[in-house]
Amino acid sequence: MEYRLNVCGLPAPEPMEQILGAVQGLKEGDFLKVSHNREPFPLYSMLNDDGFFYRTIVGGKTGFLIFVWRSDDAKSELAVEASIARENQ
Amino acid sequence: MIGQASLSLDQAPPISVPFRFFLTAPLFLFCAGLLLLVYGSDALVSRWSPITLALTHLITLGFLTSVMCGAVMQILPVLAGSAVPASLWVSRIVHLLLTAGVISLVSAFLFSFSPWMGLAMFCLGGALFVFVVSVAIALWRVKIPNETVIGMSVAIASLAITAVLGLFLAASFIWPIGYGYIHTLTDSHMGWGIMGWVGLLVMGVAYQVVPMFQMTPEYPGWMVKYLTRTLFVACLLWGVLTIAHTLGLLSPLWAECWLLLMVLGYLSFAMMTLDVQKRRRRRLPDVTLKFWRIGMFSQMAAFLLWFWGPFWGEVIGEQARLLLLGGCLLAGFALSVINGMLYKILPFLSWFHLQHRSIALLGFGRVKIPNMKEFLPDRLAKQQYMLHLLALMLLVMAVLAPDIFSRPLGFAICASSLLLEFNLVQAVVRYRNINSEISKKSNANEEMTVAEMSRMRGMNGTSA
Repeated sequence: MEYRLNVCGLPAPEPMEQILGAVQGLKEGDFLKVSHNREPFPLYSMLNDDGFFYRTIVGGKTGFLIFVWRSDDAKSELAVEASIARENQ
Repeated sequence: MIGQASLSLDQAPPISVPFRFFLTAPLFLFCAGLLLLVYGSDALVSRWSPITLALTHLITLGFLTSVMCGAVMQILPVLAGSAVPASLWVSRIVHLLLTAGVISLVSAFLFSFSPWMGLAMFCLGGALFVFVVSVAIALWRVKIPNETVIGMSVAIASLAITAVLGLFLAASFIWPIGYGYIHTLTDSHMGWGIMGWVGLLVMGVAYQVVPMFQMTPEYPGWMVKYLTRTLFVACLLWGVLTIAHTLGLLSPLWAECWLLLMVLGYLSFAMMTLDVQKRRRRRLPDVTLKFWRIGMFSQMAAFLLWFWGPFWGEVIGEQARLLLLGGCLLAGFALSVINGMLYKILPFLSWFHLQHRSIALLGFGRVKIPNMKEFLPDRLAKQQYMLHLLALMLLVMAVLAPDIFSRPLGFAICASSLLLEFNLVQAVVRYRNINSEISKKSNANEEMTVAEMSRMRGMNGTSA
Protein backbone atom coordinates (compact mmCIF):
# COMPACT_ATOMS: atom_id res chain seq x y z
CA MET A 1 0.00 0.00 0.00
CA GLU A 2 1.24 3.48 -0.88
CA TYR A 3 1.31 6.13 1.85
CA ARG A 4 1.91 9.75 0.89
CA LEU A 5 3.55 12.55 2.83
CA ASN A 6 4.18 16.12 1.72
CA VAL A 7 6.90 17.90 3.69
CA CYS A 8 7.41 20.87 1.37
CA GLY A 9 7.95 24.18 3.07
CA LEU A 10 8.37 22.79 6.56
CA PRO A 11 11.29 24.28 8.52
CA ALA A 12 14.28 22.02 9.16
CA PRO A 13 14.38 19.53 10.80
CA GLU A 14 10.59 18.93 10.72
CA PRO A 15 10.64 17.14 7.32
CA MET A 16 13.15 14.59 8.68
CA GLU A 17 11.23 14.16 11.93
CA GLN A 18 7.95 13.57 10.07
CA ILE A 19 9.49 11.11 7.60
CA LEU A 20 11.30 9.14 10.32
CA GLY A 21 8.07 9.01 12.32
CA ALA A 22 5.92 8.00 9.35
CA VAL A 23 8.11 5.09 8.22
CA GLN A 24 7.78 3.39 11.61
CA GLY A 25 4.19 2.47 10.72
CA LEU A 26 5.10 0.71 7.44
CA LYS A 27 4.11 -2.98 7.25
CA GLU A 28 4.86 -5.68 4.69
CA GLY A 29 3.98 -4.45 1.19
CA ASP A 30 3.78 -0.80 2.31
CA PHE A 31 5.93 2.08 1.17
CA LEU A 32 6.04 5.81 1.82
CA LYS A 33 6.12 8.32 -1.02
CA VAL A 34 7.43 11.68 0.18
CA SER A 35 7.10 14.93 -1.77
CA HIS A 36 9.93 17.33 -0.91
CA ASN A 37 11.23 20.59 -2.36
CA ARG A 38 14.93 19.76 -1.70
CA GLU A 39 17.03 16.63 -1.55
CA PRO A 40 17.29 15.52 2.10
CA PHE A 41 20.87 14.19 2.11
CA PRO A 42 21.17 13.77 5.91
CA LEU A 43 18.02 11.66 6.02
CA TYR A 44 19.37 8.84 3.87
CA SER A 45 21.90 7.40 6.29
CA MET A 46 19.38 7.59 9.15
CA LEU A 47 16.90 5.58 7.06
CA ASN A 48 19.55 2.96 6.25
CA ASP A 49 20.60 2.71 9.91
CA ASP A 50 16.96 2.32 10.92
CA GLY A 51 16.43 -0.62 8.50
CA PHE A 52 14.88 1.12 5.50
CA PHE A 53 15.76 1.44 1.82
CA TYR A 54 15.05 4.53 -0.24
CA ARG A 55 14.96 5.72 -3.83
CA THR A 56 14.89 9.38 -4.85
CA ILE A 57 13.73 10.73 -8.18
CA VAL A 58 13.76 14.26 -9.48
CA GLY A 59 10.17 14.96 -10.36
CA GLY A 60 6.67 15.52 -9.18
CA LYS A 61 5.21 18.99 -8.62
CA THR A 62 7.54 19.69 -5.70
CA GLY A 63 10.94 18.78 -7.16
CA PHE A 64 11.87 15.53 -5.40
CA LEU A 65 10.02 12.29 -4.69
CA ILE A 66 11.51 9.97 -2.06
CA PHE A 67 10.26 6.38 -1.78
CA VAL A 68 10.95 4.55 1.49
CA TRP A 69 10.32 0.90 2.40
CA ARG A 70 11.54 -1.71 4.89
CA SER A 71 14.87 -3.19 3.77
CA ASP A 72 13.65 -6.80 4.28
CA ASP A 73 10.45 -6.32 2.30
CA ALA A 74 10.79 -7.52 -1.32
CA LYS A 75 7.08 -7.03 -1.97
CA SER A 76 7.31 -3.31 -1.18
CA GLU A 77 10.37 -2.97 -3.39
CA LEU A 78 8.38 -4.25 -6.36
CA ALA A 79 5.55 -1.85 -5.54
CA VAL A 80 8.05 1.03 -5.41
CA GLU A 81 9.48 0.03 -8.81
CA ALA A 82 5.98 0.09 -10.27
CA SER A 83 5.21 3.47 -8.71
CA ILE A 84 8.46 4.96 -10.05
CA ALA A 85 7.69 3.58 -13.52
CA ARG A 86 4.31 5.32 -13.38
CA GLU A 87 5.99 8.59 -12.32
CA ASN A 88 8.47 8.37 -15.18
CA GLN A 89 5.77 7.83 -17.81
CA MET B 1 16.83 9.10 -11.21
CA ILE B 2 19.43 10.64 -9.01
CA GLY B 3 22.38 9.07 -7.28
CA GLN B 4 21.82 7.65 -3.85
CA ALA B 5 24.44 9.80 -2.17
CA SER B 6 24.40 8.87 1.46
CA LEU B 7 26.60 9.58 4.43
CA SER B 8 27.06 6.90 7.03
CA LEU B 9 27.64 7.95 10.62
CA ASP B 10 31.32 7.06 10.19
CA GLN B 11 31.69 9.24 7.08
CA ALA B 12 29.81 12.25 8.45
CA PRO B 13 32.21 14.68 10.13
CA PRO B 14 32.16 14.37 13.93
CA ILE B 15 30.34 17.15 15.76
CA SER B 16 33.65 18.27 17.28
CA VAL B 17 34.64 19.52 13.80
CA PRO B 18 32.34 22.56 13.80
CA PHE B 19 32.08 22.89 17.58
CA ARG B 20 35.77 23.72 18.00
CA PHE B 21 35.47 26.59 15.49
CA PHE B 22 32.14 27.86 16.82
CA LEU B 23 33.33 27.96 20.43
CA THR B 24 36.61 29.73 19.64
CA ALA B 25 35.10 32.41 17.39
CA PRO B 26 33.29 34.52 20.07
CA LEU B 27 36.52 34.62 22.09
CA PHE B 28 38.21 36.51 19.25
CA LEU B 29 35.27 38.89 19.16
CA PHE B 30 35.72 39.38 22.90
CA CYS B 31 39.40 40.23 22.25
CA ALA B 32 38.24 42.82 19.68
CA GLY B 33 36.07 44.42 22.38
CA LEU B 34 38.97 44.27 24.82
CA LEU B 35 41.21 46.01 22.29
CA LEU B 36 38.72 48.88 22.09
CA LEU B 37 38.52 49.05 25.89
CA VAL B 38 42.32 49.25 26.16
CA TYR B 39 43.15 51.55 23.23
CA GLY B 40 39.90 53.58 23.11
CA SER B 41 39.71 56.15 20.31
CA ASP B 42 43.19 55.17 18.98
CA ALA B 43 41.53 52.07 17.50
CA LEU B 44 39.23 54.21 15.36
CA VAL B 45 41.54 56.90 14.03
CA SER B 46 42.11 55.60 10.50
CA ARG B 47 41.71 52.38 8.50
CA TRP B 48 45.53 52.24 8.24
CA SER B 49 46.18 52.36 12.00
CA PRO B 50 47.83 49.10 13.23
CA ILE B 51 45.31 48.92 16.09
CA THR B 52 42.41 49.20 13.62
CA LEU B 53 44.03 46.50 11.48
CA ALA B 54 44.35 44.25 14.55
CA LEU B 55 40.69 44.94 15.39
CA THR B 56 39.55 44.23 11.82
CA HIS B 57 41.41 40.92 11.61
CA LEU B 58 40.09 39.75 14.97
CA ILE B 59 36.63 40.10 13.42
CA THR B 60 37.34 38.86 9.87
CA LEU B 61 39.74 36.00 10.58
CA GLY B 62 39.07 35.34 14.25
CA PHE B 63 35.30 35.36 14.16
CA LEU B 64 33.97 35.25 10.60
CA THR B 65 36.48 32.87 9.03
CA SER B 66 36.48 30.57 12.09
CA VAL B 67 32.70 30.15 12.00
CA MET B 68 32.59 29.88 8.22
CA CYS B 69 35.32 27.19 8.13
CA GLY B 70 33.51 25.09 10.73
CA ALA B 71 30.15 25.59 9.08
CA VAL B 72 31.37 24.76 5.56
CA MET B 73 32.90 21.46 6.72
CA GLN B 74 29.61 20.38 8.31
CA ILE B 75 27.07 21.97 5.99
CA LEU B 76 28.69 20.53 2.85
CA PRO B 77 27.57 16.96 3.66
CA VAL B 78 24.10 18.17 4.67
CA LEU B 79 23.43 20.35 1.62
CA ALA B 80 25.51 18.55 -0.99
CA GLY B 81 26.03 15.00 0.30
CA SER B 82 29.84 15.19 0.15
CA ALA B 83 32.19 15.18 3.15
CA VAL B 84 35.62 16.80 3.51
CA PRO B 85 38.27 14.01 3.45
CA ALA B 86 39.79 13.23 6.88
CA SER B 87 37.57 15.96 8.29
CA LEU B 88 38.64 15.43 11.92
CA TRP B 89 42.34 15.90 11.15
CA VAL B 90 41.70 18.71 8.70
CA SER B 91 39.63 20.56 11.30
CA ARG B 92 42.28 20.02 14.00
CA ILE B 93 45.07 21.35 11.78
CA VAL B 94 43.04 24.27 10.37
CA HIS B 95 41.74 25.25 13.80
CA LEU B 96 45.16 25.14 15.43
CA LEU B 97 46.91 27.05 12.65
CA LEU B 98 44.10 29.58 12.25
CA THR B 99 43.98 30.31 15.98
CA ALA B 100 47.76 30.63 16.26
CA GLY B 101 47.81 32.68 13.05
CA VAL B 102 45.24 35.21 14.26
CA ILE B 103 47.04 35.63 17.59
CA SER B 104 50.40 36.19 15.91
CA LEU B 105 48.93 38.54 13.26
CA VAL B 106 47.26 40.69 15.90
CA SER B 107 50.48 40.70 17.97
CA ALA B 108 52.46 41.73 14.88
CA PHE B 109 50.12 44.69 14.28
CA LEU B 110 50.03 45.78 17.91
CA PHE B 111 53.74 45.44 18.67
CA SER B 112 55.14 46.06 15.13
CA PHE B 113 57.33 43.01 15.49
CA SER B 114 58.32 41.33 12.20
CA PRO B 115 58.94 37.77 13.52
CA TRP B 116 55.28 37.65 14.67
CA MET B 117 54.26 38.54 11.13
CA GLY B 118 56.44 35.74 9.76
CA LEU B 119 54.76 33.28 12.11
CA ALA B 120 51.33 34.64 11.16
CA MET B 121 52.13 34.15 7.46
CA PHE B 122 53.17 30.55 8.08
CA CYS B 123 50.17 29.69 10.26
CA LEU B 124 47.46 31.49 8.30
CA GLY B 125 48.89 30.45 4.94
CA GLY B 126 49.03 26.83 6.14
CA ALA B 127 45.52 26.88 7.66
CA LEU B 128 43.86 28.38 4.61
CA PHE B 129 45.82 26.17 2.20
CA VAL B 130 44.72 22.98 4.01
CA PHE B 131 41.14 24.23 4.27
CA VAL B 132 40.83 25.35 0.64
CA VAL B 133 42.37 22.15 -0.76
CA SER B 134 40.29 19.77 1.38
CA VAL B 135 37.01 21.61 0.73
CA ALA B 136 37.85 21.77 -2.99
CA ILE B 137 38.24 17.95 -2.99
CA ALA B 138 34.83 17.55 -1.31
CA LEU B 139 33.23 19.95 -3.79
CA TRP B 140 34.86 18.14 -6.70
CA ARG B 141 33.28 14.87 -5.51
CA VAL B 142 29.72 16.21 -5.50
CA LYS B 143 27.77 14.16 -8.03
CA ILE B 144 25.08 16.70 -8.95
CA PRO B 145 26.27 20.23 -8.11
CA ASN B 146 23.40 22.50 -7.03
CA GLU B 147 23.59 26.28 -6.74
CA THR B 148 24.82 26.08 -3.14
CA VAL B 149 27.74 23.93 -4.27
CA ILE B 150 28.55 26.51 -6.95
CA GLY B 151 28.25 29.28 -4.35
CA MET B 152 30.63 27.43 -2.05
CA SER B 153 33.08 26.75 -4.89
CA VAL B 154 33.37 30.40 -5.91
CA ALA B 155 33.54 31.48 -2.26
CA ILE B 156 36.42 29.07 -1.64
CA ALA B 157 38.21 30.36 -4.74
CA SER B 158 37.69 33.91 -3.43
CA LEU B 159 39.10 32.90 -0.05
CA ALA B 160 42.22 31.58 -1.80
CA ILE B 161 42.63 34.90 -3.67
CA THR B 162 42.02 36.90 -0.46
CA ALA B 163 44.61 34.79 1.36
CA VAL B 164 47.26 35.22 -1.36
CA LEU B 165 46.71 39.02 -1.39
CA GLY B 166 46.86 39.01 2.41
CA LEU B 167 50.15 37.11 2.34
CA PHE B 168 51.60 39.72 -0.05
CA LEU B 169 50.51 42.47 2.33
CA ALA B 170 51.97 40.61 5.30
CA ALA B 171 55.24 40.21 3.37
CA SER B 172 55.25 43.97 2.72
CA PHE B 173 55.17 44.43 6.51
CA ILE B 174 58.60 42.75 6.60
CA TRP B 175 59.91 43.97 3.22
CA PRO B 176 58.21 47.36 2.58
CA ILE B 177 56.92 48.29 -0.91
CA GLY B 178 55.49 51.53 -2.34
CA TYR B 179 52.33 53.09 -0.85
CA GLY B 180 50.49 53.00 -4.21
CA TYR B 181 50.87 49.22 -4.40
CA ILE B 182 49.92 48.78 -0.73
CA HIS B 183 46.74 50.81 -1.29
CA THR B 184 45.70 48.73 -4.31
CA LEU B 185 46.63 45.44 -2.62
CA THR B 186 44.69 46.38 0.52
CA ASP B 187 41.57 47.41 -1.42
CA SER B 188 41.72 44.22 -3.49
CA HIS B 189 42.32 42.06 -0.38
CA MET B 190 39.34 43.69 1.35
CA GLY B 191 37.18 43.52 -1.77
CA TRP B 192 37.83 39.82 -2.35
CA GLY B 193 37.34 39.05 1.34
CA ILE B 194 34.04 40.81 1.81
CA MET B 195 32.50 40.51 -1.68
CA GLY B 196 33.96 37.12 -2.60
CA TRP B 197 34.59 34.96 0.47
CA VAL B 198 31.85 36.35 2.74
CA GLY B 199 29.40 37.75 0.16
CA LEU B 200 29.33 34.79 -2.23
CA LEU B 201 29.26 32.19 0.56
CA VAL B 202 26.38 33.95 2.32
CA MET B 203 24.56 34.16 -1.00
CA GLY B 204 25.13 30.52 -1.99
CA VAL B 205 24.13 29.20 1.43
CA ALA B 206 21.18 31.62 1.74
CA TYR B 207 19.45 30.09 -1.28
CA GLN B 208 19.09 26.88 0.75
CA VAL B 209 19.07 27.87 4.40
CA VAL B 210 16.80 30.95 4.28
CA PRO B 211 13.80 29.01 2.86
CA MET B 212 14.78 25.92 4.92
CA PHE B 213 14.99 27.61 8.34
CA GLN B 214 13.05 30.85 7.97
CA MET B 215 10.03 29.42 6.12
CA THR B 216 10.27 31.89 3.26
CA PRO B 217 9.36 31.28 -0.39
CA GLU B 218 12.29 30.21 -2.58
CA TYR B 219 14.54 32.88 -4.12
CA PRO B 220 13.66 33.51 -7.80
CA GLY B 221 15.19 31.00 -10.22
CA TRP B 222 17.19 33.58 -12.22
CA MET B 223 18.90 34.82 -9.07
CA VAL B 224 19.71 31.35 -7.78
CA LYS B 225 21.03 30.23 -11.15
CA TYR B 226 23.03 33.24 -12.35
CA LEU B 227 23.80 35.79 -9.65
CA THR B 228 26.55 34.01 -7.66
CA ARG B 229 28.57 32.84 -10.66
CA THR B 230 28.10 36.17 -12.51
CA LEU B 231 29.36 38.10 -9.48
CA PHE B 232 32.42 35.86 -9.20
CA VAL B 233 33.33 36.50 -12.84
CA ALA B 234 32.64 40.20 -12.22
CA CYS B 235 35.03 40.13 -9.23
CA LEU B 236 37.73 38.62 -11.47
CA LEU B 237 37.22 41.37 -14.08
CA TRP B 238 37.26 44.00 -11.33
CA GLY B 239 40.63 42.58 -10.25
CA VAL B 240 41.97 42.92 -13.81
CA LEU B 241 40.70 46.53 -14.11
CA THR B 242 42.26 47.39 -10.73
CA ILE B 243 45.64 45.98 -11.80
CA ALA B 244 45.40 47.88 -15.12
CA HIS B 245 44.71 51.09 -13.20
CA THR B 246 47.63 50.50 -10.80
CA LEU B 247 49.98 49.99 -13.74
CA GLY B 248 48.71 53.24 -15.26
CA LEU B 249 47.08 51.52 -18.25
CA LEU B 250 43.47 52.55 -17.50
CA SER B 251 41.62 55.35 -15.77
CA PRO B 252 40.34 54.42 -12.25
CA LEU B 253 36.86 55.23 -13.53
CA TRP B 254 36.66 51.86 -15.30
CA ALA B 255 37.16 49.87 -12.08
CA GLU B 256 34.77 52.21 -10.20
CA CYS B 257 31.99 51.85 -12.81
CA TRP B 258 32.46 48.09 -12.89
CA LEU B 259 32.31 47.98 -9.08
CA LEU B 260 29.03 49.91 -9.21
CA LEU B 261 27.50 47.17 -11.41
CA MET B 262 28.73 44.51 -8.98
CA VAL B 263 27.41 46.37 -5.96
CA LEU B 264 23.99 46.56 -7.64
CA GLY B 265 24.10 42.75 -7.89
CA TYR B 266 24.76 42.43 -4.14
CA LEU B 267 22.04 44.99 -3.43
CA SER B 268 19.52 42.99 -5.46
CA PHE B 269 20.33 39.98 -3.25
CA ALA B 270 19.83 42.05 -0.08
CA MET B 271 16.52 43.41 -1.31
CA MET B 272 15.32 39.99 -2.43
CA THR B 273 16.22 38.52 0.98
CA LEU B 274 14.16 41.20 2.72
CA ASP B 275 11.33 40.55 0.27
CA VAL B 276 11.22 36.74 0.76
CA GLN B 277 11.47 37.25 4.53
CA LYS B 278 8.48 39.59 4.35
CA ARG B 279 6.51 36.86 2.55
CA ARG B 280 7.45 34.05 4.96
CA ARG B 281 4.78 31.44 5.62
CA ARG B 282 5.07 31.08 9.40
CA ARG B 283 5.11 34.46 11.08
CA LEU B 284 6.65 33.29 14.33
CA PRO B 285 9.26 35.52 16.01
CA ASP B 286 12.72 34.40 14.93
CA VAL B 287 15.97 35.91 16.14
CA THR B 288 17.98 34.70 13.11
CA LEU B 289 15.59 36.59 10.86
CA LYS B 290 16.27 39.78 12.82
CA PHE B 291 20.05 39.31 12.52
CA TRP B 292 19.65 38.81 8.76
CA ARG B 293 17.50 41.93 8.42
CA ILE B 294 20.15 44.04 10.14
CA GLY B 295 22.72 42.47 7.81
CA MET B 296 20.76 43.36 4.68
CA PHE B 297 20.00 46.93 5.83
CA SER B 298 23.68 47.41 6.72
CA GLN B 299 24.61 46.34 3.20
CA MET B 300 22.29 49.05 1.87
CA ALA B 301 23.76 51.62 4.26
CA ALA B 302 27.25 50.68 3.04
CA PHE B 303 26.10 51.27 -0.53
CA LEU B 304 24.86 54.77 0.35
CA LEU B 305 28.17 55.58 2.07
CA TRP B 306 30.13 54.37 -0.94
CA PHE B 307 27.97 55.74 -3.76
CA TRP B 308 27.61 59.25 -2.27
CA GLY B 309 31.18 59.14 -0.96
CA PRO B 310 32.11 62.82 -1.60
CA PHE B 311 28.88 63.99 0.07
CA TRP B 312 29.36 61.84 3.18
CA GLY B 313 33.06 62.68 3.19
CA GLU B 314 32.15 66.36 3.57
CA VAL B 315 29.51 65.69 6.19
CA ILE B 316 31.39 63.34 8.53
CA GLY B 317 34.99 63.50 7.22
CA GLU B 318 36.69 61.08 4.83
CA GLN B 319 38.39 58.89 7.47
CA ALA B 320 35.11 58.55 9.41
CA ARG B 321 33.27 57.67 6.19
CA LEU B 322 35.76 54.92 5.33
CA LEU B 323 35.63 53.52 8.88
CA LEU B 324 31.84 53.60 8.85
CA LEU B 325 31.77 51.91 5.44
CA GLY B 326 34.02 49.12 6.76
CA GLY B 327 31.93 48.90 9.94
CA CYS B 328 28.69 48.56 7.95
CA LEU B 329 30.16 45.77 5.82
CA LEU B 330 32.07 43.84 8.49
CA ALA B 331 30.06 44.33 11.65
CA GLY B 332 26.67 45.35 10.25
CA PHE B 333 26.46 42.86 7.40
CA ALA B 334 28.90 39.97 7.86
CA LEU B 335 28.94 39.73 11.66
CA SER B 336 25.14 40.01 11.94
CA VAL B 337 24.44 37.36 9.31
CA ILE B 338 27.02 34.88 10.62
CA ASN B 339 26.00 35.45 14.27
CA GLY B 340 22.36 34.87 13.29
CA MET B 341 23.17 31.72 11.35
CA LEU B 342 25.00 30.26 14.37
CA TYR B 343 21.64 30.17 16.16
CA LYS B 344 20.29 27.84 13.48
CA ILE B 345 23.35 25.85 12.44
CA LEU B 346 24.52 24.78 15.90
CA PRO B 347 21.12 23.51 17.16
CA PHE B 348 20.43 21.85 13.80
CA LEU B 349 23.76 20.02 13.76
CA SER B 350 23.29 18.98 17.40
CA TRP B 351 19.83 17.62 16.62
CA PHE B 352 21.08 15.86 13.48
CA HIS B 353 24.05 14.16 15.14
CA LEU B 354 22.05 13.00 18.15
CA GLN B 355 19.16 11.73 16.02
CA HIS B 356 21.62 9.93 13.75
CA ARG B 357 23.51 8.36 16.63
CA SER B 358 20.34 7.41 18.46
CA ILE B 359 18.94 5.64 15.40
CA ALA B 360 22.25 3.89 14.62
CA LEU B 361 22.64 2.55 18.18
CA LEU B 362 19.12 2.26 19.54
CA GLY B 363 16.57 2.67 16.75
CA PHE B 364 14.10 5.51 16.21
CA GLY B 365 12.36 7.04 19.21
CA ARG B 366 14.28 5.21 21.96
CA VAL B 367 15.78 8.46 23.22
CA LYS B 368 13.80 11.67 22.87
CA ILE B 369 15.92 14.20 21.03
CA PRO B 370 15.04 17.80 22.00
CA ASN B 371 13.86 20.13 19.26
CA MET B 372 16.14 22.91 18.01
CA LYS B 373 14.68 25.58 20.32
CA GLU B 374 15.42 23.41 23.36
CA PHE B 375 19.13 23.35 22.47
CA LEU B 376 19.30 27.14 22.32
CA PRO B 377 16.39 28.97 23.99
CA ASP B 378 15.05 32.03 22.14
CA ARG B 379 15.16 34.15 25.29
CA LEU B 380 18.97 34.03 25.53
CA ALA B 381 19.44 34.49 21.80
CA LYS B 382 17.20 37.59 21.91
CA GLN B 383 19.24 39.08 24.75
CA GLN B 384 22.41 38.64 22.73
CA TYR B 385 20.68 40.16 19.70
CA MET B 386 19.86 43.27 21.72
CA LEU B 387 23.50 43.57 22.81
CA HIS B 388 24.64 43.16 19.21
CA LEU B 389 22.21 45.88 18.13
CA LEU B 390 23.51 48.16 20.88
CA ALA B 391 27.10 47.50 19.74
CA LEU B 392 26.19 48.46 16.16
CA MET B 393 24.58 51.72 17.28
CA LEU B 394 27.61 52.50 19.43
CA LEU B 395 29.85 51.73 16.45
CA VAL B 396 28.20 54.49 14.42
CA MET B 397 28.52 56.91 17.34
CA ALA B 398 32.11 55.85 18.06
CA VAL B 399 33.16 56.58 14.47
CA LEU B 400 31.62 60.06 14.76
CA ALA B 401 32.83 60.78 18.31
CA PRO B 402 35.64 58.28 19.08
CA ASP B 403 36.73 59.91 22.33
CA ILE B 404 33.32 59.43 23.93
CA PHE B 405 32.00 56.20 22.47
CA SER B 406 35.02 53.92 21.70
CA ARG B 407 35.16 52.36 25.17
CA PRO B 408 31.38 51.90 25.54
CA LEU B 409 31.55 50.21 22.12
CA GLY B 410 34.30 47.90 23.39
CA PHE B 411 32.23 47.09 26.44
CA ALA B 412 29.14 46.28 24.32
CA ILE B 413 31.19 43.99 22.03
CA CYS B 414 32.66 42.19 25.06
CA ALA B 415 29.20 41.69 26.57
CA SER B 416 27.66 40.52 23.29
CA SER B 417 30.47 38.05 22.55
CA LEU B 418 30.45 36.65 26.10
CA LEU B 419 26.70 36.04 25.95
CA LEU B 420 27.09 34.43 22.53
CA GLU B 421 29.79 32.14 23.94
CA PHE B 422 27.60 31.32 26.95
CA ASN B 423 24.65 30.46 24.66
CA LEU B 424 26.78 28.22 22.46
CA VAL B 425 28.37 26.46 25.44
CA GLN B 426 24.90 25.80 26.86
CA ALA B 427 23.84 24.12 23.62
CA VAL B 428 27.04 22.05 23.53
CA VAL B 429 26.52 20.94 27.16
CA ARG B 430 22.94 19.91 26.30
CA TYR B 431 24.29 17.97 23.34
CA ARG B 432 26.85 16.17 25.51
CA ASN B 433 24.26 15.24 28.15
CA ILE B 434 21.93 13.62 25.62
CA ASN B 435 24.85 12.01 23.85
CA SER B 436 25.98 10.34 27.08
CA GLU B 437 22.37 9.20 27.70
CA ILE B 438 22.43 7.49 24.30
CA SER B 439 25.80 5.87 25.15
CA LYS B 440 24.49 4.63 28.50
CA LYS B 441 21.38 3.09 26.93
CA SER B 442 23.45 1.51 24.18
CA ASN B 443 25.90 0.02 26.74
CA ALA B 444 22.98 -1.26 28.82
CA ASN B 445 21.52 -2.92 25.71
CA GLU B 446 24.87 -4.55 24.93
CA GLU B 447 25.23 -5.83 28.50
CA MET B 448 21.70 -7.25 28.34
CA THR B 449 22.50 -8.99 25.06
CA VAL B 450 25.71 -10.50 26.49
CA ALA B 451 23.85 -11.64 29.65
CA GLU B 452 21.09 -13.14 27.52
CA MET B 453 23.64 -15.01 25.37
CA SER B 454 25.44 -16.35 28.49
CA ARG B 455 22.11 -17.46 29.93
CA MET B 456 21.26 -19.24 26.67
CA ARG B 457 24.68 -20.96 26.61
CA GLY B 458 24.13 -22.01 30.22
CA MET B 459 20.75 -23.48 29.38
CA ASN B 460 22.19 -25.35 26.38
CA GLY B 461 25.00 -26.71 28.58
CA THR B 462 22.50 -27.94 31.19
CA SER B 463 20.27 -29.63 28.62
CA ALA B 464 23.33 -31.28 27.01
